[in-house]
Amino acid sequence: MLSVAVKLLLRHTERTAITILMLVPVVALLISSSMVTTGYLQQATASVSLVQPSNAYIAYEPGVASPSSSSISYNSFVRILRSGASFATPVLSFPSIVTDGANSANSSVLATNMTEFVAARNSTIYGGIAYGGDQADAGAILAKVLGIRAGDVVTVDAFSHVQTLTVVGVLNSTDQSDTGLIVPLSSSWALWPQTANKITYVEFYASNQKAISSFSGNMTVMREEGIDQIARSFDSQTADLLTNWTYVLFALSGAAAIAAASRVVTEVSQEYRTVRAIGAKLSIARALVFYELLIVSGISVLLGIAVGIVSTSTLGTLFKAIDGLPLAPSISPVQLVTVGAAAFLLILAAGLISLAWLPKKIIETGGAP
Amino acid sequence: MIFTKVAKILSSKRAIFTLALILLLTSAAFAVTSSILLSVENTASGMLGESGDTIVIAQGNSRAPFLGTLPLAFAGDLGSVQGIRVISAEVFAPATLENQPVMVRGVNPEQFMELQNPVILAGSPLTANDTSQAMVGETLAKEMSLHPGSQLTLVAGVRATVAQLTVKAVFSTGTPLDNEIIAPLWVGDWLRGISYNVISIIRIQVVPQDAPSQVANSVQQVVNNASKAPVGGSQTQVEPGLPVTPQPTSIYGYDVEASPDVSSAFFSKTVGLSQENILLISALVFVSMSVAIVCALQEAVFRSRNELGTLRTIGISSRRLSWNLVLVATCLSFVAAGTGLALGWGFLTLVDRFSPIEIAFYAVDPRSAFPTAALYSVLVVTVAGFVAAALSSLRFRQPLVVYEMTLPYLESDPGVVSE
Repeated sequence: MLSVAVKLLLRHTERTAITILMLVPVVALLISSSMVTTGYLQQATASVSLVQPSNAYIAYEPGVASPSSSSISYNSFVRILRSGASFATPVLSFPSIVTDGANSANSSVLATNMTEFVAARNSTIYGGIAYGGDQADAGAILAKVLGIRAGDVVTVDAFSHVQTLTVVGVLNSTDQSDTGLIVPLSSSWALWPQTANKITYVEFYASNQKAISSFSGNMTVMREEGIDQIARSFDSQTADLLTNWTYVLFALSGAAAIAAASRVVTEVSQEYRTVRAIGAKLSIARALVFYELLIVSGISVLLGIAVGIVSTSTLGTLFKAIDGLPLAPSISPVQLVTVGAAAFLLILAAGLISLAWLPKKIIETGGAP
Repeated sequence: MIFTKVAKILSSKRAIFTLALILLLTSAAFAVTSSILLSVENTASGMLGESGDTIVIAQGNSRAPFLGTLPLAFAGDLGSVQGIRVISAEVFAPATLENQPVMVRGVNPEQFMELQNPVILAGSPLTANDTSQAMVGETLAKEMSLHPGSQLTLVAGVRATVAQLTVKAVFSTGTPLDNEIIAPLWVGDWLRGISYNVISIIRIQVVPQDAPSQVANSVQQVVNNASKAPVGGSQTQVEPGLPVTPQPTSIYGYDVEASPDVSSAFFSKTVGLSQENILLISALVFVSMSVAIVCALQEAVFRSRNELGTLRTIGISSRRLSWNLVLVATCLSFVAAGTGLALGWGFLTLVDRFSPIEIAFYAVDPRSAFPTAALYSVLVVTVAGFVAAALSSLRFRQPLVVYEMTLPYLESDPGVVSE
């Protein structure tokens, strides 16, 4: 039967060639898009794996909306420090109104261990560091907004208690502490008894995940740098877009394969009137169509793979010439075989659907003998 | 008259429905592909905040325009350039909010409000003395259920720090900025990890009488002069609210780019996202689908060959028959292309609802470029239908024969078929 199908295909070389040429672009498109998509995703994933997440963390009360709403005991800081974390800094933060002369602003008091704070944040100090009970350092932005200078006396209204503090210096840490008034933790506890033995959160560094897991059950631990999350999110966005794009291409190719395979069956179905005229059953006729379809699909897929590789390479060069885009398609034999097999099955399935209508086609194309 | 007859003959065959389906799918596929890609390109090209009258100045040799740096005081140097209405110095700081990437744009509130003129949907606009407040774009506010008073804990993307801000307003601009958080300039500096003397870009709004490209040229001239001078640059401190020192004030040695198309050029260069490439990709989809169009149309004509042959035998010329066939197929293509657009629109609506498209920090409305994509789609599919019909009608230009009901198959040896 196979040899008959081959003979019939060779007998009509022009028709066979046209049919194959119709199917080749469909396979080539699938191969091409698959190679480009995989190559692009491999590059993106490789870039993401290079991103090293930071070892800086912030630990605060579990269940609260944000670290600033948190309130934990000073012992939490001690526990973190003992767990192996390095550069741990306790931070107590609360809102206040700061007034310097005629100027006042809604600000915040940031109470901490001054020595560790300045070291951890690499602050630039203009003047001195506050260590005394009635001393404070002004953050650079607060100092600019209120015109605070070292030596100024400011009033701080917090928890309905107004306290007077002397500014001994200005700290520029280029972070949010620059908008507040920085005081020693012990001063805050003494000046505002509501805050005694309390802190808002702890900043620390830890390279050992065991250290974090030892206290993360009692506190919310958040990494202070989100580059890895951003990279992963971008990678996921790209992957989703390209994967959906591949699905759309497969759907389109499926439609194109149905149309092309239907055309194949219609073309070759003319022979079956002849075949049936000499006494063959319909099942024989169907088997012949199937074998012809099998041969045509196989040749088309092989040619499609070759054209796909060449066209991807050509398109890559074209894109590079137009935009300097470094398109690096992935050429993996396994992938080529997988996509080729998928394309082959797609065309074959489309052909089988048309084959199911063969008696109807025979009638439409001239009537059964 | 002949047109109606040919249309009736073709429509009486089942194959015509396959053809209509293929045309419809091709139209929808082309419209969806080009609409998504053009929408992504539109979003990408407006990321920095460019518009018809707004130029962006950015570091030319940075990996991305929003990752570059410029000295803040350079904004003061531009005061002498004719045709400038507003200058806005801005800092881009990639960050995460509840583990989701967001772009924070640090701005001088007054300059930003004057340049962008956003519509405040809720709350009140940011002012110069707001130290830890921010405005949130409409799209981001909807996505993350943010409103005035909401607390934001922003984790810096490229530096270990956290900024805790309060939402002061929700705004709308109708641009990609609706996906951003607008905060004071210093917040951008904290999250980006750069000093208060440094910014990412400068946006310039041009006075209505002047062409942005002319002003861009003038700015580029100033930039070229300043970047070549070993000393110089302005000592003007343009941000009196910031605790900045006068240095660095010169852009000596900087590679600075001033253009209305900075983002567009960047995305075109790095990811190949340009109009030309988008049309090339859409054309690839079309080429693969055109195979199906040709096949389906040939099938429809092939199955109607007896009826069409009858028309010829009763005296209709082959030329007339061919032209009417082409006309019917072209009309069918046009109608199917139009219907395919509805299908494409529906698909894009579903995509937007269930699988939103995002590029970097920005949500993309896949339907924003649909009108342009629809125009291309109808044009291309109709032309495809015309060409396919012209190819299929060629057989009617040949002498009329009963279609291959001959004996060549019997002349060859069919093997053991008859068993």
